[in-house]
Amino acid sequence: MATADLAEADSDIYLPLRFGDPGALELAYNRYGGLAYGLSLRIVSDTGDAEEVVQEVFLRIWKSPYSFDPSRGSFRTWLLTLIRNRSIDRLRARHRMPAGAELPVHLEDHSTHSDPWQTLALGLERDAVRKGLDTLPVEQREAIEMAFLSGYTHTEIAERLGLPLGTVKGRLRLGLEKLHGFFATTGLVTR
Amino acid sequence: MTGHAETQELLAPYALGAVSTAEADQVREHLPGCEICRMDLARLSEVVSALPLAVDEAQPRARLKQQILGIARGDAAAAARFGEADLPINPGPAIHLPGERSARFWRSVPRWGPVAAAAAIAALLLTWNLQLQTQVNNSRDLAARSVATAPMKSRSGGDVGQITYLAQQHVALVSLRGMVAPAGGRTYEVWIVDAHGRATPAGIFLPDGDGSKLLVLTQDIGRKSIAVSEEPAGGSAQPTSLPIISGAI
Repeated sequence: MATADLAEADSDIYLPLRFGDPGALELAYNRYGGLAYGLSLRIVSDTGDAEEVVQEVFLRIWKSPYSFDPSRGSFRTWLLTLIRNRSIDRLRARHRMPAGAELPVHLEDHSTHSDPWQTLALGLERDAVRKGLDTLPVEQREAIEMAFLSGYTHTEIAERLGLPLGTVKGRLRLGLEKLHGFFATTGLVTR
Repeated sequence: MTGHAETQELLAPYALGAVSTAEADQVREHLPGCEICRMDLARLSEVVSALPLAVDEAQPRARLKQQILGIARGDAAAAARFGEADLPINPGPAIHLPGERSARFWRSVPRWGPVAAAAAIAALLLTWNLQLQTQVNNSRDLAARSVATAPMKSRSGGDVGQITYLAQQHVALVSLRGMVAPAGGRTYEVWIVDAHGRATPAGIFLPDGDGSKLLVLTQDIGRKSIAVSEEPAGGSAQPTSLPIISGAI
């Protein structure tokens, strides 16, 4: 996807947000609130915690709209990265685990769909991601999910699975590379 | 200094947010000097950015949306009230700006240059005067509502100037810095943007030789924002590109 397209995605949200328009926040919530809440709930497994994460992130977006840089990618990926990171923070705090590094914010994705196509497009993307995950060997998928959704570091994953650290690193790398190959055939990734 | 091989091993865990803060620092230290690792990380991160889409959407209680939007609307209402403030402060000498409320004010600057410069200086003096009064009166709240300042930000969030707004006089001084003249005969255009995102053209300009520019805007921006975009020569009726700079009181 062209950089200009990335910059335009969700510009109906982030531009008026910069001018303090609450309607833009409502639009963001209507468009991505369900996805954000679903992601947080999947990670923290608690409706109250998930709601608090969603509220915290949406208010951060409201109060600091310039923290999103459209030249680096899409608004949706930025939002979901914030949701994932705050959810992991909450999960690790609950289990008294030391904080790990946050997910680096890499924003590129392909959410240029207008509202009428939003649901359909998201459904197609979801199917593609799930099919990609289904192609992975169980041990690679397990390692990726432990990292991304459970917030374990690669060291903690190795300890929990009783595996050498190098094996875990290898599974994570091989799994992501394989997903990249699959996603490339579906247009989910461009590089 | 972290080696290339070691960084390569950490790239996948790093992209997944599954490294310690120390390891993350190691990766970040290595990346600027290694194009291979930067490209690999970009590729892996693009995959990771798609992973949340695998999760089912879920609907939180309706009350959550009400809470979030209630806070936002309260903030917006408070900001709007600022523009309506009727404050008992001596405005100082009257300022008469050329081309007042003209939609193409800066386009006429070359003809009105000396007068505009004098007006800008007078307005700056007024700002200083009001601030001095504030110090004498020791009334921080009064000053905060009469003379307000806010940063002008680039699209990436960098601080590239400042708005000084005299609310009672409806005069905004916008100082910009670090600008580069647009290429190909294009120009910068200033927009006044209302709370609904509607942009009204407010003039075109080119930066001075040192990359700076002082703009004097003579209208009520209490409910609005100021944005700058790059436009074709002569300006546009509506923005044709994303704002590169914007700010709001």
